[in-house]
Amino acid sequence: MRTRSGLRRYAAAVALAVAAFGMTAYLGTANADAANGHARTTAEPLAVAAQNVYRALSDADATAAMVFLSGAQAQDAGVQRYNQDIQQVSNGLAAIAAESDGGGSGDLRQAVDRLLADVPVYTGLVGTAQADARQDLPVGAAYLREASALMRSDLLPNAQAVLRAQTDRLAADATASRGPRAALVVAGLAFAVLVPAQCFIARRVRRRFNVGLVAATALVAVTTIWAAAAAASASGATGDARSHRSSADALVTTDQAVLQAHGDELLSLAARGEDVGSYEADFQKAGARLSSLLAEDQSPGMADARSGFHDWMTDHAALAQSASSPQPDNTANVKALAQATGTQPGTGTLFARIDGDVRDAIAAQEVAYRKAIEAVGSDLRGLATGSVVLITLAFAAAAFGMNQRLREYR
Amino acid sequence: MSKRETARAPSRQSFAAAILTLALAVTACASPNPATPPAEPPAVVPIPNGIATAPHSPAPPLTGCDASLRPTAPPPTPGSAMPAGSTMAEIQQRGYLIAGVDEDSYLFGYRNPSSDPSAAPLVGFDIDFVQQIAAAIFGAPGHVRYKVLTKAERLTALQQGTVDLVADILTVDCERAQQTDFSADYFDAGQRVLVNQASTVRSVGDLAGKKVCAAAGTTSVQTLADPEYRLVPVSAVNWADCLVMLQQGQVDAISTTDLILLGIQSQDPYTKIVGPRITFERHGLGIPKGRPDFIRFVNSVLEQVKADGTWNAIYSRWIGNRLGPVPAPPQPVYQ
Repeated sequence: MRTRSGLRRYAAAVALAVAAFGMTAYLGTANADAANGHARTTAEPLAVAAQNVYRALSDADATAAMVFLSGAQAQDAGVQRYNQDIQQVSNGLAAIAAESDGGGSGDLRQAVDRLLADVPVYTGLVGTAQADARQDLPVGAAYLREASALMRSDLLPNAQAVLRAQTDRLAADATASRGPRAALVVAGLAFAVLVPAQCFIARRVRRRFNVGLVAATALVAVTTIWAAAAAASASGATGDARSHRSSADALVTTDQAVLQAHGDELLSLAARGEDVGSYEADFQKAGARLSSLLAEDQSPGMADARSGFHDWMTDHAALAQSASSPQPDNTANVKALAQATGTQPGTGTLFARIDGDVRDAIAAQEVAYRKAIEAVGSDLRGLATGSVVLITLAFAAAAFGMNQRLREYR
Repeated sequence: MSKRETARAPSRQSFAAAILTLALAVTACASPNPATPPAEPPAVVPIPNGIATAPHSPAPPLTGCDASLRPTAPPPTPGSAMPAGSTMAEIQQRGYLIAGVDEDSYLFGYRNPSSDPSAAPLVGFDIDFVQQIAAAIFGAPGHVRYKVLTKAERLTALQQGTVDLVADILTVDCERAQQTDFSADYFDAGQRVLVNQASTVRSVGDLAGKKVCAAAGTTSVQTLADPEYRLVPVSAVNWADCLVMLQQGQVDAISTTDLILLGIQSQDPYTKIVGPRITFERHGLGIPKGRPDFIRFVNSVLEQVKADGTWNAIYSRWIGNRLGPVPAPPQPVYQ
């Protein structure tokens, strides 16, 4: 090969390889950064909104029954809590619906629409139940049962579908924000051109070093190391984020089981013996599920939840025992009611303790998650601009170096 | 009847299936315009948990199974020693009467809304009769322990002897009489129809093709299944669910004995009870088989209660003249 044409070819290849590396490094980083930004500003808040909707609905189910049973002792706290739950559901759904207007999967859209249509029906039923309860009419309990059946067969499954869709999107963002991995492959290609180019020049023109190409190689190397480090660190932080996310998801499931068990307890009291045992059976099922969920979860605060859960089951069994034995007077009913509604220490206060533990644990996981995802962001930030500057310099240096030699053959 | 009484409550799955079918039917009927874009889900009126359409089985014929045992003597002085070895002596020794009752039949047996721990846990027409029997044994009020039973548990509890008696609007009929004994008639009732005030239905004859609700496991729902009436029976877990469906416009009427209808009607003044009685049902206190001494004792107490005006007082307290003038106590039929 003649030196001149060889130089020309190498010049073209070097220009191409450096430019390609620059492009992939920049685009890869920019994409990852955008995904990270989306995760932080859109997907994560929506996942939290979906989680709040799901949680608030479960809470509304139990709280509505609590307010219903409190009767004349109706506590403002319970009414407020129910109203807050419904408000949270509405706000969460509004945020999710507004976002999914622009796209989102059909399933998500459908589940959100279903929820938007059914939440008012649910609150209507609960309102009727409360109005009847204020007049001591047994039909109130039937409205409450209908409301709860709607909640469990329709609202909660749809809220769960929304939550799943949102966490899936968040997981996709997390995968996409792992950093410029493709750039590392292209970096190899760039070296595979830069090194032979220098060898060729050294052989043909008897100069050991071409300053331009050496500088370009060094700049490409620096960029590669930076990108590799950022990718490794982002990948690690993404892994952290993901594990905190899945811990939070598991805790949300646990909390839902806690709320459902408490709801069962209250609903079976509200059903006044006409429940044919289904709420009690449901309580036992939720209790068994909860027992294994709590045993598996090693999050901080779960030890307290476990001991609270044990006491709860003991108290519940004692109440169930006295409810099913023949009763001489109102003592057993009044006691069960006072405990379940939390006016006396017992099942209700234990529920509140476990619920509090689990909610604290969820909040802690959320904070850790946000920290990890921020870390991914700060790893990537700067790399996009940095890679553009470095590679532009590398390109210029390579052009200068090649041009020096090419000029000699003009 | 006993078959339905002792049958276990339908499983949740079959409930769910029935709800789904009904929900589909409701939505299908409720959309007048088929061109409605499918993007907007219609607001579906949910159906109370545990609704099923009733199976078609013919109403049982009424034969003379309603004759109870004749009391041999007036009851012993309340509180005095009961005849040795008798069921009453056993109850007296135990210290309390165990009564199987309902907790959810408004006006008959329902939970006392009082939050006073020393109050009676339940109140109602049936509960007052239980207290009369207990007072006749112990000579003092309060010696009762209430065991809450669902409709389906009433006969099982009697067969297993876990209760001394059942006071839960129990209609006397032959099939039940094979599983349990009954006291003499303590109140009569007949099946009628409850509709909204605005309804044009005047009797069961106007209900052809309409949806009529009754509680599962009752004689009422079987009466409704009689092909003669050509109506669509819908069975709910309990009476309150029927009222929910009537208020939501999912059924056109509720039909059962007038005294239960009164309990439903008094929860919703926008409803009315219409039509003549289509059945005549005697109601007795259920007593486990093999205790003739206790049946005779209960019957003698009932005779006394009817004679001394207590029966009228109890009837007036819970039902009053809302179904017409207070009737005379029912005449007992003895073997």
